[in-house]
Amino acid sequence: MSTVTGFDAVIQYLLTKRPDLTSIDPDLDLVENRILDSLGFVNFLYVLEEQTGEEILMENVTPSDFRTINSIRKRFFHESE
Amino acid sequence: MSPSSPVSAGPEAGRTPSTRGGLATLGPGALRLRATLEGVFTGWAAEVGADAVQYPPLMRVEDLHRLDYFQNFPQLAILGAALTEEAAPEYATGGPREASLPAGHLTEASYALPSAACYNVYLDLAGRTLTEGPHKVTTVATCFRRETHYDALRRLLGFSMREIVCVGTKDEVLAHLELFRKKITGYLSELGLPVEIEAATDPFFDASAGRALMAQLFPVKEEFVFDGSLAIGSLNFHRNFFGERCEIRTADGEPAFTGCVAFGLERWISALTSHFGLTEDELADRVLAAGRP
Repeated sequence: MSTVTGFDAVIQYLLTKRPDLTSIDPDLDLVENRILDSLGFVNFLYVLEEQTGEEILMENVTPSDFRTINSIRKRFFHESE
Repeated sequence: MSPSSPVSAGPEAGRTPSTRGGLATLGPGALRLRATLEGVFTGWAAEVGADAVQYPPLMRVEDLHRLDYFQNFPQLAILGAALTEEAAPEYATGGPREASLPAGHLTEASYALPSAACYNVYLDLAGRTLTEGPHKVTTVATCFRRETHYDALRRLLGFSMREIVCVGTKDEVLAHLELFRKKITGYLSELGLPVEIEAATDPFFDASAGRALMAQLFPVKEEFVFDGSLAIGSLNFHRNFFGERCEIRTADGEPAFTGCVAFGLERWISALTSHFGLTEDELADRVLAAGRP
Protein backbone atom coordinates (compact mmCIF):
# COMPACT_ATOMS: atom_id res chain seq x y z
CA MET A 1 0.00 0.00 0.00
CA SER A 2 2.53 2.55 -1.11
CA THR A 3 -0.04 5.34 -1.31
CA VAL A 4 -0.95 4.93 2.36
CA THR A 5 2.72 4.89 3.32
CA GLY A 6 3.28 8.04 1.31
CA PHE A 7 0.40 9.82 2.99
CA ASP A 8 1.60 8.76 6.44
CA ALA A 9 5.01 10.17 5.57
CA VAL A 10 3.37 13.51 4.80
CA ILE A 11 1.61 13.48 8.19
CA GLN A 12 4.90 12.65 9.87
CA TYR A 13 6.53 15.56 8.08
CA LEU A 14 3.80 17.97 9.17
CA LEU A 15 4.15 16.76 12.77
CA THR A 16 7.84 17.63 12.75
CA LYS A 17 6.76 21.26 12.20
CA ARG A 18 4.98 21.29 15.53
CA PRO A 19 6.80 19.07 18.03
CA ASP A 20 4.20 19.98 20.65
CA LEU A 21 1.52 18.00 18.76
CA THR A 22 1.21 14.21 18.61
CA SER A 23 -1.56 14.21 16.05
CA ILE A 24 -3.25 16.68 13.76
CA ASP A 25 -6.99 16.92 13.39
CA PRO A 26 -7.68 16.17 9.71
CA ASP A 27 -9.87 19.27 9.47
CA LEU A 28 -7.50 21.61 11.33
CA ASP A 29 -6.49 24.61 9.23
CA LEU A 30 -2.79 24.00 8.68
CA VAL A 31 -2.04 27.58 7.70
CA GLU A 32 -3.94 29.26 10.53
CA ASN A 33 -2.20 26.98 13.00
CA ARG A 34 1.21 27.58 11.46
CA ILE A 35 1.84 23.93 10.76
CA LEU A 36 2.40 25.15 7.22
CA ASP A 37 4.14 28.48 6.96
CA SER A 38 5.51 30.41 4.05
CA LEU A 39 9.11 29.46 4.80
CA GLY A 40 8.40 25.75 5.08
CA PHE A 41 5.98 25.56 2.19
CA VAL A 42 8.50 25.01 -0.58
CA ASN A 43 9.96 22.10 1.30
CA PHE A 44 6.50 20.73 1.94
CA LEU A 45 5.79 20.74 -1.81
CA TYR A 46 8.96 18.73 -2.28
CA VAL A 47 7.84 16.19 0.34
CA LEU A 48 4.43 15.92 -1.35
CA GLU A 49 6.02 15.35 -4.75
CA GLU A 50 8.36 12.76 -3.32
CA GLN A 51 5.55 10.84 -1.63
CA THR A 52 3.08 11.01 -4.50
CA GLY A 53 5.69 10.51 -7.20
CA GLU A 54 4.06 13.33 -9.18
CA GLU A 55 5.21 16.80 -9.98
CA ILE A 56 2.94 19.50 -8.55
CA LEU A 57 2.34 22.27 -11.05
CA MET A 58 1.41 25.58 -9.46
CA GLU A 59 -1.10 26.20 -12.24
CA ASN A 60 -3.06 23.11 -11.21
CA VAL A 61 -3.50 23.75 -7.51
CA THR A 62 -5.46 26.17 -5.37
CA PRO A 63 -4.89 27.40 -1.82
CA SER A 64 -7.72 25.21 -0.54
CA ASP A 65 -5.81 22.10 -1.67
CA PHE A 66 -3.32 22.71 1.12
CA ARG A 67 -5.44 23.95 3.99
CA THR A 68 -6.22 20.72 5.84
CA ILE A 69 -4.98 17.15 5.97
CA ASN A 70 -8.30 16.06 4.48
CA SER A 71 -7.93 18.41 1.52
CA ILE A 72 -4.34 17.31 0.95
CA ARG A 73 -5.41 13.68 1.03
CA LYS A 74 -8.23 14.27 -1.43
CA ARG A 75 -6.26 16.37 -3.85
CA PHE A 76 -2.88 14.66 -3.88
CA PHE A 77 -3.61 11.11 -2.77
CA HIS A 78 -6.92 10.83 -4.58
CA GLU A 79 -8.70 9.43 -1.56
CA SER A 80 -11.96 10.36 0.03
CA GLU A 81 -12.14 10.89 3.80
CA MET B 1 12.87 86.78 5.52
CA SER B 2 9.25 87.04 6.51
CA PRO B 3 8.52 87.52 10.23
CA SER B 4 5.97 84.71 10.23
CA SER B 5 8.38 82.06 9.02
CA PRO B 6 11.86 83.17 9.97
CA VAL B 7 13.33 79.66 9.91
CA SER B 8 12.30 78.57 6.45
CA ALA B 9 14.24 81.23 4.60
CA GLY B 10 17.69 79.91 5.51
CA PRO B 11 19.91 78.24 2.94
CA GLU B 12 19.29 74.81 4.46
CA ALA B 13 15.52 75.01 4.26
CA GLY B 14 14.85 73.97 0.73
CA ARG B 15 17.80 71.76 0.08
CA THR B 16 17.20 68.34 -1.40
CA PRO B 17 18.04 65.62 1.11
CA SER B 18 21.37 64.02 0.30
CA THR B 19 21.33 60.23 0.29
CA ARG B 20 24.88 59.18 -0.33
CA GLY B 21 25.39 55.43 -0.12
CA GLY B 22 21.87 54.89 1.19
CA LEU B 23 22.40 57.25 4.12
CA ALA B 24 20.11 60.27 4.17
CA THR B 25 20.68 63.74 5.56
CA LEU B 26 17.43 65.66 6.05
CA GLY B 27 17.50 69.45 6.27
CA PRO B 28 15.12 71.64 8.26
CA GLY B 29 12.31 71.57 5.68
CA ALA B 30 12.28 67.76 5.33
CA LEU B 31 12.52 67.45 9.10
CA ARG B 32 9.49 69.69 9.60
CA LEU B 33 7.55 67.62 7.10
CA ARG B 34 8.63 64.45 8.88
CA ALA B 35 7.57 65.86 12.25
CA THR B 36 4.17 66.77 10.79
CA LEU B 37 3.71 63.25 9.41
CA GLU B 38 4.75 61.85 12.77
CA GLY B 39 2.09 64.04 14.38
CA VAL B 40 -0.55 62.39 12.20
CA PHE B 41 0.69 58.84 12.88
CA THR B 42 1.16 59.28 16.62
CA GLY B 43 -2.29 60.90 16.73
CA TRP B 44 -3.72 57.70 15.24
CA ALA B 45 -1.73 55.63 17.73
CA ALA B 46 -3.17 57.66 20.62
CA GLU B 47 -6.70 57.20 19.24
CA VAL B 48 -6.37 53.42 19.55
CA GLY B 49 -4.79 53.63 23.00
CA ALA B 50 -1.25 52.67 21.99
CA ASP B 51 1.47 53.36 24.55
CA ALA B 52 4.46 55.29 23.20
CA VAL B 53 7.68 53.41 23.96
CA GLN B 54 11.28 53.87 22.94
CA TYR B 55 13.36 50.72 22.69
CA PRO B 56 17.15 50.30 22.66
CA PRO B 57 18.97 51.35 19.48
CA LEU B 58 20.70 47.97 19.10
CA MET B 59 19.33 44.45 19.36
CA ARG B 60 21.07 41.47 20.87
CA VAL B 61 21.95 38.71 18.42
CA GLU B 62 20.79 36.09 20.96
CA ASP B 63 17.34 37.74 21.03
CA LEU B 64 17.15 37.75 17.24
CA HIS B 65 17.92 34.01 17.17
CA ARG B 66 14.78 33.52 19.23
CA LEU B 67 12.84 35.06 16.33
CA ASP B 68 14.63 33.05 13.57
CA TYR B 69 15.79 36.42 12.28
CA PHE B 70 18.94 35.21 10.57
CA GLN B 71 17.12 32.30 8.96
CA ASN B 72 14.50 34.59 7.50
CA PHE B 73 16.48 37.70 6.61
CA PRO B 74 20.19 36.85 6.39
CA GLN B 75 20.63 39.18 3.45
CA LEU B 76 19.36 42.23 5.33
CA ALA B 77 21.33 41.89 8.53
CA ILE B 78 23.83 44.51 9.61
CA LEU B 79 25.80 43.77 12.75
CA GLY B 80 27.63 45.79 15.35
CA ALA B 81 31.16 44.91 16.39
CA ALA B 82 34.04 46.68 18.15
CA LEU B 83 37.76 46.83 17.42
CA THR B 84 39.63 44.02 19.12
CA GLU B 85 42.01 44.85 21.94
CA GLU B 86 44.85 43.75 19.69
CA ALA B 87 43.83 45.99 16.79
CA ALA B 88 42.82 49.08 18.76
CA PRO B 89 46.36 50.36 19.51
CA GLU B 90 47.23 50.19 15.82
CA TYR B 91 44.33 52.54 14.99
CA ALA B 92 45.08 54.77 17.99
CA THR B 93 48.52 55.46 16.57
CA GLY B 94 47.33 56.40 13.11
CA GLY B 95 46.98 52.94 11.62
CA PRO B 96 45.20 51.99 8.41
CA ARG B 97 42.60 54.40 7.03
CA GLU B 98 40.76 52.12 4.62
CA ALA B 99 37.08 52.61 3.78
CA SER B 100 36.26 49.40 5.62
CA LEU B 101 37.84 47.70 8.61
CA PRO B 102 39.02 44.13 8.09
CA ALA B 103 36.98 41.45 9.86
CA GLY B 104 40.15 40.29 11.57
CA HIS B 105 40.33 43.58 13.47
CA LEU B 106 36.80 43.23 14.82
CA THR B 107 35.30 41.45 17.79
CA GLU B 108 32.57 38.89 17.30
CA ALA B 109 29.27 40.67 16.71
CA SER B 110 26.81 40.16 19.51
CA TYR B 111 24.66 43.13 18.50
CA ALA B 112 22.63 43.85 15.41
CA LEU B 113 21.09 47.04 14.11
CA PRO B 114 17.30 46.66 14.00
CA SER B 115 15.76 46.11 10.56
CA ALA B 116 12.21 46.73 11.81
CA ALA B 117 10.88 48.65 14.78
CA CYS B 118 8.50 46.05 16.18
CA TYR B 119 10.81 43.14 17.11
CA ASN B 120 11.63 44.91 20.35
CA VAL B 121 7.95 45.18 21.24
CA TYR B 122 7.59 41.39 21.33
CA LEU B 123 10.90 40.81 23.11
CA ASP B 124 9.96 43.39 25.72
CA LEU B 125 6.62 41.62 26.36
CA ALA B 126 8.26 38.18 26.59
CA GLY B 127 6.76 35.93 29.24
CA ARG B 128 3.78 38.21 29.84
CA THR B 129 0.11 37.25 29.96
CA LEU B 130 -2.16 39.99 28.67
CA THR B 131 -5.11 39.90 31.02
CA GLU B 132 -6.53 43.30 30.16
CA GLY B 133 -7.33 42.91 26.50
CA PRO B 134 -5.13 43.79 23.56
CA HIS B 135 -1.85 45.56 24.21
CA LYS B 136 -0.99 48.34 21.78
CA VAL B 137 2.33 50.07 21.43
CA THR B 138 3.73 52.69 19.11
CA THR B 139 7.41 53.25 18.55
CA VAL B 140 9.73 54.79 16.01
CA ALA B 141 13.17 53.43 15.21
CA THR B 142 16.00 54.03 12.86
CA CYS B 143 16.10 50.75 10.96
CA PHE B 144 18.90 49.36 8.85
CA ARG B 145 18.77 47.03 5.88
CA ARG B 146 21.60 45.88 3.71
CA GLU B 147 20.22 46.04 0.15
CA THR B 148 21.65 45.34 -3.28
CA HIS B 149 21.08 48.95 -4.29
CA TYR B 150 19.92 52.19 -2.74
CA ASP B 151 17.69 54.76 -4.40
CA ALA B 152 17.41 58.27 -2.96
CA LEU B 153 14.77 58.43 -0.19
CA ARG B 154 12.99 55.46 -1.78
CA ARG B 155 15.42 52.81 -0.62
CA LEU B 156 17.84 53.59 2.17
CA LEU B 157 20.40 51.69 4.22
CA GLY B 158 19.23 53.55 7.33
CA PHE B 159 15.67 54.87 7.54
CA SER B 160 12.96 55.77 10.05
CA MET B 161 10.08 53.42 10.70
CA ARG B 162 7.04 54.33 12.78
CA GLU B 163 4.98 51.36 13.89
CA ILE B 164 1.68 50.88 15.68
CA VAL B 165 1.59 47.34 17.05
CA CYS B 166 -1.25 45.26 18.45
CA VAL B 167 -0.70 42.16 20.60
CA GLY B 168 -3.81 40.21 21.53
CA THR B 169 -6.21 37.58 20.26
CA LYS B 170 -6.46 36.83 16.57
CA ASP B 171 -9.69 38.82 16.26
CA GLU B 172 -8.27 41.81 18.13
CA VAL B 173 -5.21 41.93 15.90
CA LEU B 174 -7.22 41.54 12.70
CA ALA B 175 -9.55 44.32 13.87
CA HIS B 176 -6.53 46.57 14.51
CA LEU B 177 -5.21 45.96 10.99
CA GLU B 178 -8.62 46.46 9.41
CA LEU B 179 -9.13 49.72 11.31
CA PHE B 180 -5.81 51.05 10.04
CA ARG B 181 -6.46 49.79 6.53
CA LYS B 182 -9.52 52.06 6.47
CA LYS B 183 -7.87 54.92 8.33
CA ILE B 184 -4.84 55.05 6.03
CA THR B 185 -6.88 54.58 2.87
CA GLY B 186 -9.23 57.40 3.88
CA TYR B 187 -6.36 59.68 4.82
CA LEU B 188 -4.46 59.11 1.58
CA SER B 189 -7.62 59.74 -0.38
CA GLU B 190 -8.19 63.03 1.42
CA LEU B 191 -4.54 63.95 0.96
CA GLY B 192 -4.82 63.21 -2.76
CA LEU B 193 -1.88 60.85 -2.87
CA PRO B 194 -2.68 57.93 -5.21
CA VAL B 195 -1.72 54.63 -3.61
CA GLU B 196 -2.61 51.02 -4.40
CA ILE B 197 -2.99 48.35 -1.73
CA GLU B 198 -1.02 45.29 -2.78
CA ALA B 199 -0.49 41.92 -1.15
CA ALA B 200 3.21 41.57 -0.57
CA THR B 201 4.61 38.12 -1.05
CA ASP B 202 7.37 36.14 0.41
CA PRO B 203 10.72 37.04 -1.16
CA PHE B 204 11.92 33.45 -0.83
CA PHE B 205 9.55 32.12 -3.46
CA ASP B 206 10.16 33.12 -7.03
CA ALA B 207 7.92 31.26 -9.45
CA SER B 208 5.14 33.55 -10.56
CA ALA B 209 2.30 31.04 -10.24
CA GLY B 210 3.74 29.95 -6.92
CA ARG B 211 3.90 33.54 -5.77
CA ALA B 212 0.20 34.00 -6.37
CA LEU B 213 -0.56 30.79 -4.50
CA MET B 214 1.68 31.82 -1.64
CA ALA B 215 0.02 35.22 -1.40
CA GLN B 216 -3.37 33.55 -1.07
CA LEU B 217 -2.21 30.92 1.38
CA PHE B 218 -0.15 33.21 3.56
CA PRO B 219 -1.59 36.73 3.37
CA VAL B 220 0.66 38.21 5.99
CA LYS B 221 1.49 41.56 4.50
CA GLU B 222 -0.28 44.28 2.58
CA GLU B 223 1.50 47.34 1.32
CA PHE B 224 0.39 50.85 0.40
CA VAL B 225 2.24 51.31 -2.85
CA PHE B 226 2.82 54.70 -4.47
CA ASP B 227 3.82 55.03 -8.11
CA GLY B 228 3.77 51.29 -8.75
CA SER B 229 6.81 50.43 -6.68
CA LEU B 230 7.24 52.51 -3.53
CA ALA B 231 5.70 50.97 -0.40
CA ILE B 232 5.14 53.86 2.01
CA GLY B 233 3.30 51.79 4.58
CA SER B 234 2.33 48.23 5.36
CA LEU B 235 -0.09 46.12 7.37
CA ASN B 236 1.55 43.00 8.75
CA PHE B 237 -0.18 40.01 10.34
CA HIS B 238 2.31 37.66 12.01
CA ARG B 239 -0.29 35.21 13.31
CA ASN B 240 0.94 33.81 16.65
CA PHE B 241 4.59 33.47 15.64
CA PHE B 242 5.96 36.12 18.02
CA GLY B 243 3.50 35.12 20.73
CA GLU B 244 4.86 31.57 20.66
CA ARG B 245 8.50 32.52 20.39
CA CYS B 246 8.34 35.13 23.14
CA GLU B 247 5.79 33.28 25.27
CA ILE B 248 3.30 36.13 25.28
CA ARG B 249 -0.14 34.84 26.17
CA THR B 250 -3.66 36.17 26.04
CA ALA B 251 -6.04 35.83 28.99
CA ASP B 252 -7.11 32.35 27.82
CA GLY B 253 -3.52 31.12 28.06
CA GLU B 254 -3.03 30.82 24.29
CA PRO B 255 -0.02 32.34 22.49
CA ALA B 256 -0.89 35.92 21.55
CA PHE B 257 -1.32 37.02 17.95
CA THR B 258 0.47 40.11 16.73
CA GLY B 259 0.14 42.57 13.91
CA CYS B 260 1.66 45.91 13.09
CA VAL B 261 1.10 48.95 10.95
CA ALA B 262 4.36 50.40 9.67
CA PHE B 263 5.20 53.71 8.01
CA GLY B 264 8.48 54.47 6.25
CA LEU B 265 8.91 58.16 7.02
CA GLU B 266 11.49 59.03 4.35
CA ARG B 267 9.40 57.20 1.77
CA TRP B 268 6.39 59.35 2.65
CA ILE B 269 8.55 62.44 2.14
CA SER B 270 9.73 61.06 -1.19
CA ALA B 271 6.21 60.22 -2.39
CA LEU B 272 4.71 63.54 -1.29
CA THR B 273 7.52 65.56 -2.82
CA SER B 274 7.51 63.79 -6.16
CA HIS B 275 3.72 63.71 -6.49
CA PHE B 276 2.79 67.26 -5.49
CA GLY B 277 5.94 69.16 -6.41
CA LEU B 278 5.35 71.55 -3.51
CA THR B 279 7.87 72.85 -0.99
CA GLU B 280 8.26 70.86 2.19
CA ASP B 281 6.46 73.54 4.20
CA GLU B 282 3.55 73.53 1.77
CA LEU B 283 3.47 69.74 1.99
CA ALA B 284 3.44 69.90 5.78
CA ASP B 285 0.42 72.21 5.61
CA ARG B 286 -1.30 69.77 3.27
CA VAL B 287 -0.52 66.80 5.53
CA LEU B 288 -1.96 68.66 8.51
CA ALA B 289 -5.06 69.82 6.66
CA ALA B 290 -5.88 66.26 5.55
CA GLY B 291 -5.51 65.02 9.12
CA ARG B 292 -8.01 67.47 10.59
CA PRO B 293 -11.40 66.04 11.48
